Amino acid sequence: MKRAIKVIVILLISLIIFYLLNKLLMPKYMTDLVEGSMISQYYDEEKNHEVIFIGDCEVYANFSPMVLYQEKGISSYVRGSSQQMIWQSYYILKETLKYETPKVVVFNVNSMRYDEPVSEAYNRLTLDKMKWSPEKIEMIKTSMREEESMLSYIFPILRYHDRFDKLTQEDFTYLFNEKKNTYQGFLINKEIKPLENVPTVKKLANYKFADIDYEYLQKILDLCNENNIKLLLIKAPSVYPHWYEEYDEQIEEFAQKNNINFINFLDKVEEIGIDYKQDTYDRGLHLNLTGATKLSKYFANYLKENYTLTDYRQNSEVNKIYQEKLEQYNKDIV
Amino acid sequence: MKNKGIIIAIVVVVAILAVGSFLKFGNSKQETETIETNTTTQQESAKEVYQFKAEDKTVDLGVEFASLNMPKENEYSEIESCAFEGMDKEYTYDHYMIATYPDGDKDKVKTVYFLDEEAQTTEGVKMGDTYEKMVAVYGENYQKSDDQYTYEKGKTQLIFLIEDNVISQIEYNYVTD
Repeated sequence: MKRAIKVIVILLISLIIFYLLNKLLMPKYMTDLVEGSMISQYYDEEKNHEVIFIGDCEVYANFSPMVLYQEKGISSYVRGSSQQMIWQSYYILKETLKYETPKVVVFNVNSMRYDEPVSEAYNRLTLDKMKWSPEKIEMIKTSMREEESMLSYIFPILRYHDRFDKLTQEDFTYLFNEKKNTYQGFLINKEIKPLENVPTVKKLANYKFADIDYEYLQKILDLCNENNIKLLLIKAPSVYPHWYEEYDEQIEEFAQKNNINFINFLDKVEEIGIDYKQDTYDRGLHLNLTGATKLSKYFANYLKENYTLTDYRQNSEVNKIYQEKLEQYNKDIV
Repeated sequence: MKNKGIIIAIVVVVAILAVGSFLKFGNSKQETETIETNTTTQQESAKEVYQFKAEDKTVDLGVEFASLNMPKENEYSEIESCAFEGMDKEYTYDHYMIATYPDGDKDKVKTVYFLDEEAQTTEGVKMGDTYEKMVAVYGENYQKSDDQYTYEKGKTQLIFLIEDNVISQIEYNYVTD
């Protein structure tokens, strides 16, 4: 009996050590590559969002839920991540619907151009800190490149064993907790790097979106329809990678066929007042704070005019939460 | 006998931890093999690669851009990535554009992209020529994907886009890992 207890204790201690090692070696994404912590920051939020954004960096850099709230009292959250593939957007939406049912889902269509994951590193930024769920497992299966394995997602030590000699204070500080580095999924960037020259626009051999992209776009639409959610397709005003006319036509066609709205903000740059000499932090790929504020103000009006959304500024409970966030936000954006 | 339980427990723990080490070893072995293969491939193909010649310059793909001592470009642009550091750069000249990719602290030549019919390949094919001309010069040993025809030599590619039997785009490309 004593021997059995000894064995169990040793096994337990070993498992705890193994668990801690996995946790320690996993990047924390708190000060470097903060994009890797975006997906998990949603879990602690109050789930009262009527608008949910899904998509790649073109959502988390360009749309500020704080501005949507300030302008029209819209409660929203950006569940974006770097190079979020369309199948990842689908599973993130599916996961989100377990927590809440928004009235509008905004999907940025830029990822339709990719039919396979861009890199393992980007997969990690989206997947590493997502909570374990059937959605996550499916998402890993769909996202993995040839050189990746499911085991390395389950046991991060298999992937990050070489971080032993690269551990920093951050790895210990944020071993069990994390700090918020976004506002409702919006990543503030105040830098200005003006667009000087637009990169060369290359001809493509094939402009048709791949079947897998249509498959997941349809799945996103079906999921929205099943839950009585309006799907809104958008293309954020990123100057590059170039958004081809042929891409636009295909999205337009899909939107018309399914009776959903599509806005290409590249066509509305002047109307919004975006100036790529001032409003971008990386020469036109993403908008900076001033650019995102302009775009978000414009979008707040659009949402209010086209959808029935609650003005949460009239709801004292929700308003209190937002006012606390806004107080901090307004300090941070100075 | 007394220590049997402890020994079993230790074996289990070691087994769990060994999985990591084993896979690490596996990966390292694979990486080593890849590096060896790459080196061999590079050596084998060193003499067999596509090169672009412009006026008195020979543009080798995959080499450090600075080493080419190119004249001042007409236009320069930088293309940042979504989250990671390092950026692609484009140097545009009269009739072609050279794009680089970051490799450590160096920018290496990734692509030479033709801008008009004034630029021609080292073997004399230019935009506006026909499919027949391309085949006469480079043969039929290409890979076809939609309207795109790709010839490969080592880690270099020469890519033609052909629309209505006419070459509408030419690009040299270096295949990175």
